[in-house]
Amino acid sequence: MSEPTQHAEPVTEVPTYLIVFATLIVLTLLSVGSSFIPMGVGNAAVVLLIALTKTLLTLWFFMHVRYASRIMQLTIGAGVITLGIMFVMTLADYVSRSWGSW
Amino acid sequence: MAEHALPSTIAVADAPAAHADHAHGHDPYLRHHFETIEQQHEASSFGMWLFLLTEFMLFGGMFMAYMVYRNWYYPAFAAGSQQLNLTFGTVNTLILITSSVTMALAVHAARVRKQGTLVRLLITTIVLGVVFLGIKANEYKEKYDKHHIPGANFSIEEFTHPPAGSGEKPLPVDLAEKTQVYFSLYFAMTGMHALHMIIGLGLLTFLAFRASQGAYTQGYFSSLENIGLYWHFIDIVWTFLFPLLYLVNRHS
Repeated sequence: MSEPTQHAEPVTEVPTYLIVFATLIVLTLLSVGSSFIPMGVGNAAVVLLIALTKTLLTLWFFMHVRYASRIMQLTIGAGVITLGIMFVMTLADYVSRSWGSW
Repeated sequence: MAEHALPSTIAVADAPAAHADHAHGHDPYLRHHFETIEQQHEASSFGMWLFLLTEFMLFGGMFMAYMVYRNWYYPAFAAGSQQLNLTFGTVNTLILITSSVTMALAVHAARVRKQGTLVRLLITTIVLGVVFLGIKANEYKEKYDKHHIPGANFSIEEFTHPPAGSGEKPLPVDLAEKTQVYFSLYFAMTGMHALHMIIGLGLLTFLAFRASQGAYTQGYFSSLENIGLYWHFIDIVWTFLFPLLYLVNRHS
C-alpha cells in the first residue's frame, strides 16, 4: 500500500495534541479560578480572553487550520471577521446609547 | 503520493475502479466528478467549513442577544448565574475538552491506519459525550425542581428572598423577574448546544460502526474528519457558554 492519499501533514501529531490538551485544561482551571477574584469588569475580560485563546488553540491544532490550504484559511478567517463585525457594530450602538454594566 | 491529473475525465467517469488498478491504489474512493482525490478531499472539507461558518453565525446571534441583555440586566444575570452548579459546569467543560482530544486522536488513528485504536477512541468520545449530557440533564432537573424554568411556574422567591448564608443580596421584584431572561438564554443556548451534541453522538455512533467494519483506515477518511470538525465546533461553542453562563460574578 502506498502513502495515504489524503493530507500532507506529518504523522507525529500525538505529542502536540497532548500538549494542547494539557494547555486547554490549565486554561479552563485558570478561568474558573479567576472568577473568584473580584476584578469588576476585568472578570468578564479575563474569562473571555481565555475562551478566545482556547478557541484559537482548538481551531489551529485540532481542526487542522494550520494544515489547511490558503483559500480555506481565508474563508474561515472571513467567517470569523463577519461574526466580529456583528459583535462590534451591535455593541458600538449599545455602548453609545444605552450602556448598562458588566 | 503522486499528484498527477488523470488522463481524461471521461476515463474516470466511465471506469474509476479499473483505472485505479494501474494508477494508484486509492481511486476506488474517487467520485467521478472530481479530477483527483486531493481535489475531492479539499472540496468536502471546504463544504464542511462553510456549514460550520453558518453554525458560528447561528450561535453568534444567541451570544449577541446574551451580551445585550446581560449588559441591561447585569444584577439579574449575576444572580441567575449563581444558581448554576459550578462543579458540574467545570467537570463538563473538562469532559468536553477530553472528548475533543480523543476525537482529534481518532482522526490521527485513521491517518496512520490503526483500526482498533480508531474504534476505541470513537467509543471513548461517545461515552464522554453521553456523560456530558447526563450531567446536563441533572442540572436541568435541578432547575425544574427549583422552578427556575422561565414561564408560568417560574419562582423569583430565591432572588427576592435569598436564603440566609448564601451571601446574596435580595433583588427588587422587577429585577428579579429579569432572571427569567437569563434562564431563557441559558436554556436556549445550552439546549441548542445539547441538540448539536445529540446529533454529533448519532454521527459518531455511525462512524464507530463503520470503522469497526474497516472503513476510514484505508487511506481516505474525509467523512470522519468532517464529523471531527463538527465535534470540535461543539466544543468551541461550550468554550464560550461556560464562562458566560457559569462564571458571572462568582466572587460576590
